[in-house]
Amino acid sequence: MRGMHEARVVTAHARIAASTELAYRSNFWAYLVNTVVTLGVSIASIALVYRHTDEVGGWTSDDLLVVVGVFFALGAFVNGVVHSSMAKLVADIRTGDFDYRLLKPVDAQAVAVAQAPDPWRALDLVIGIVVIGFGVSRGGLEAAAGGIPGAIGAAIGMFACAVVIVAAFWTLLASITFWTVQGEGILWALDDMYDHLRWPIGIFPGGLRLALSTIFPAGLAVTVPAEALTGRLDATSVFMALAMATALLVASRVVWRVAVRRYEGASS
Amino acid sequence: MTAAAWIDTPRRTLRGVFVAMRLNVIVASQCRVNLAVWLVVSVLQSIVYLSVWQAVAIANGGSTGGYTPAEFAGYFLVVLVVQRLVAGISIVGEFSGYVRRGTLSTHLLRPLHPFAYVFGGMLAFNVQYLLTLPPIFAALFLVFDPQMHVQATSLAAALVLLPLAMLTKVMCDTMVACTSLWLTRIDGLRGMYGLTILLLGGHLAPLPLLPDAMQTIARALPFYWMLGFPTELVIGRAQLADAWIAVAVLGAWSIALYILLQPTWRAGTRAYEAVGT
Repeated sequence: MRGMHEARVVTAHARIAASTELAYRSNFWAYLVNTVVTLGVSIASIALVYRHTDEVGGWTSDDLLVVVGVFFALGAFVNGVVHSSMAKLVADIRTGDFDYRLLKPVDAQAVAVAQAPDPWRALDLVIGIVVIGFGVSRGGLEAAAGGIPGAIGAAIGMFACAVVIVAAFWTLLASITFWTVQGEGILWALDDMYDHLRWPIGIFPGGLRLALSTIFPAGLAVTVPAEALTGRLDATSVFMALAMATALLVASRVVWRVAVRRYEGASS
Repeated sequence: MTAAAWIDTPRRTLRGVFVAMRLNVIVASQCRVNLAVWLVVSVLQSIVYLSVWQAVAIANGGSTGGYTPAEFAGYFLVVLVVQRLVAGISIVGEFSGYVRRGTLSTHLLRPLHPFAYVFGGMLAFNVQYLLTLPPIFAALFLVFDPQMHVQATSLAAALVLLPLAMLTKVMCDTMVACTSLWLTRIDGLRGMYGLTILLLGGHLAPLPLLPDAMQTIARALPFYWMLGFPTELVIGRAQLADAWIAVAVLGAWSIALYILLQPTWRAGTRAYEAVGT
């Protein structure tokens, strides 16, 4: 079965990349410092805002902790799988090494998305789950439709949508490298923007909410799982998440195929 | 060093910076989409914090920390420009990349200081970015209808202060970047540095909204004086007389960092292993 073959190859690539990364054990401490500082600043910025008010757009400080938790958990995937893999893709296109990828009997896009995971980033996932648990325990989920099991189930579903959204969006923009050859700047910009998305898009005015759902849909991706975990998820949010995930998946596939046809091999 | 060398070295460095700048402008002009993505991202970032504080002001009945939603709009639109002018030139990521990949070795062989080359490249990007900023700023101005109390003397003082703010930022960046010569990967430190600027520089919130202890720390560090203070000067929130404090703080930090950088660079290049990872 073709899908299984791709999955096996991606897993093998991921295993090799993870082994390479694990050889640099001191990086664990670098990431630990980074995670602790980022968490500290996230909590400090929430505390700063809630010094002046009890609620922002109907979200309490406990609800915002859940958003921060989702930001970390999704960030583990964004920084630990998508960014590192896309950085390798961009470098391969620039140096011409992507030629060898095209020669292999496996879907190049499937491999490109998850070819270079950074295992140390799993730390963000652990921290994210802990912060989500802390926020949910303080906020309470009893009022959510379907109770606690229903809310957790919906959150897992929305988190899966969020993963598809960020993976497809990052791939879509990284594909620009096939035309421009230089794509590192785009990846830096995406990472930089993601760092500021510790707020639910529901608190923003309509124009910005739309921009963070469409132009930069990572805002939507961070928000929908948090909505599920705070009993706010409605049919509109579910529809938006599913529609964006599907649209971006299709768009990234179409653009990838056009881009690969255009690729001439930049090696010299 | 002879008198001729004292004149010749800075002249050669300056020429090198301009060459690196021209080279990077040519390269960047071939992939303008990078610039477009950065523009969208930096505008969205500023609007995110603006919208958060406007929501807080509205929830508080129209004002928070003495700022109305329209005054928050004024603050964050000006901080967008100041931030790009001063903090836009970030050499930490670029230089630490050279160290991580081991390509610093090539730069060390060139007759131009590696930091001068990195600085030229970043300056090129910033110049292009700033050329595209006026129409975007005008559009945001129309959308958010900001309120500011701009005075000619304060605006002039802010403009005079900006080159010193840029110099101090370059010194801070260079010092942080130098740590990569020992640590090779400085992702954690770089993240911590960026978040410190975000929190204490005035990008996340105007200084009066921070707790007193954080305000004291922010006033002792250079970041508020290079970002938040010039912004407050432009919108008429800061006293013109305090501009002298800004000059003193930024000047003192720049001189101290410059002095500290000399032995740091020498020791760092000796510690650099040129292995890459």
